[in-house]
Amino acid sequence: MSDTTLGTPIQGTTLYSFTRFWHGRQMTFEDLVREVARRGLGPGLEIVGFQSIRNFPDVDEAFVNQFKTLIDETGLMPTALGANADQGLRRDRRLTNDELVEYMAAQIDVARRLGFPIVRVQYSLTPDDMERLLPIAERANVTLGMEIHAHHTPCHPVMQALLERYEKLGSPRLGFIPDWGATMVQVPRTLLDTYRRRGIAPELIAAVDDYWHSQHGNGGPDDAAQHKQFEEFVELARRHGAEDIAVELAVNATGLFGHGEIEEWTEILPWAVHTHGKFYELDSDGEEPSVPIRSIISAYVNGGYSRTISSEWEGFHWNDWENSFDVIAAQQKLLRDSAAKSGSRMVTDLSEARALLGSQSVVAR
Amino acid sequence: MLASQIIEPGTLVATNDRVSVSVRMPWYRSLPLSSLTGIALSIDGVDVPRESITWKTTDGGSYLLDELAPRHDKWWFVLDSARIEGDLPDLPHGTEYEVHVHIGLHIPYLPVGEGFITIEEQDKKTMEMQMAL
Repeated sequence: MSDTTLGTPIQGTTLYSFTRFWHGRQMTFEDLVREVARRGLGPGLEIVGFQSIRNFPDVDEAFVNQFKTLIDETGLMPTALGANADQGLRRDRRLTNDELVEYMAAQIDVARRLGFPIVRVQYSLTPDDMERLLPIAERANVTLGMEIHAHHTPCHPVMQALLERYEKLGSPRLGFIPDWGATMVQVPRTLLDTYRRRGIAPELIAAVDDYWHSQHGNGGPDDAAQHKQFEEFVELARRHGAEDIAVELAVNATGLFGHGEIEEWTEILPWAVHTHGKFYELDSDGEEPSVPIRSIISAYVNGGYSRTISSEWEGFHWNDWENSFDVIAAQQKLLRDSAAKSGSRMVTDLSEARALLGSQSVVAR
Repeated sequence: MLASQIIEPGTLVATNDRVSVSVRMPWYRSLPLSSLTGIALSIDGVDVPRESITWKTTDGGSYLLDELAPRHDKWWFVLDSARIEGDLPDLPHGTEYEVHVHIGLHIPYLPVGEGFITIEEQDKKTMEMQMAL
């Protein structure tokens, strides 16, 4: 890719955004996929295997056929299958590397059968594990994308070790999946509003906001710093008599709302095989006050990124008053406007998206 | 996550000496039964004795709480309910009862230090108690 070629990212959605409709048994899997298509929230479609498929990764042919029929009917395009690296499956010990590789291989095979070109993997997998999974991915004709999710950022030692191995192996079947929650600018306003409505002391809410900002500006924390921040948030809540939200607050504030710098994405964009366009909220002007979407899209466009972005709404953790399909539509409008303001555009047409991905089948790095 | 969805309204049922309530998972994806921890049920502030509690799955499985940890071979699908059942404590007669459930979940893909992140969620709902024969 040339420095002067602007990227045209491809629009899409992950069904994770609709967790409340799914978990609440208000919509079936088919309902969700059809509604994504009906509202024009594709063409990209991402699912999490352990969320959407019963008995995953033991998937029967009936589901495979049903899924392929649904994809043909809706004109959507499978992008990434979310796999989970459940190293803590057993309580008596961690899975060995052999066991974890085998555990992932089964999920990679589901991606092959369902027609997902990318498998999202997670950081329990070491560089050695990824190297061992590479031939399995090659045989399955899929690409493995290591998610970079808060508290990690591209600069975190875990991700740098993976990057080093990727560079040594030089395979287009190994890459990263940036999650924009790793580079936020503040704790979501709707979360703080929710705490206010729940009667949490205003002093605690202000202290949470202040403490998060006090940790900002130095890039993402290493594991020790994250642990310290976790303890500080728990202590803050306890000091204000809010024991009941202490752990939840600490988990969210240190595991969801990341401190990374946007420039870090630029450095690993050549290795980004897909993206989680994470966001939490849109204000009355249609802007995202907590995730700097316009700046990120500018970096993506200028970095020549022309792969898929799944709009991923995680505000549902506390926001039960907005319709997740409306929220996704509003965020995608912001994505399209941001791309236009950066002198480019988002690709929303299925044929164009397929052609664009096909032309990048061998990644130039 | 989704803590307010844990207790399913209108599902408090008592027999002569046992009581149960139907619950949903406070998480977005299926987890192995080995992820379950810190299960607790109380009614009007009276604890159902921990050692009497069984975890009942939709496929007919029944597990004492201490039997859950080794069951990484069994899964709780995200759309399925489960029942928490235990010995019925002495309660004043009433029409409605406040049910309190606590569920902890080990998240097997989020390692932290030597272990894994444990999510602690609880829910409280008031409902009538149905008597079953």
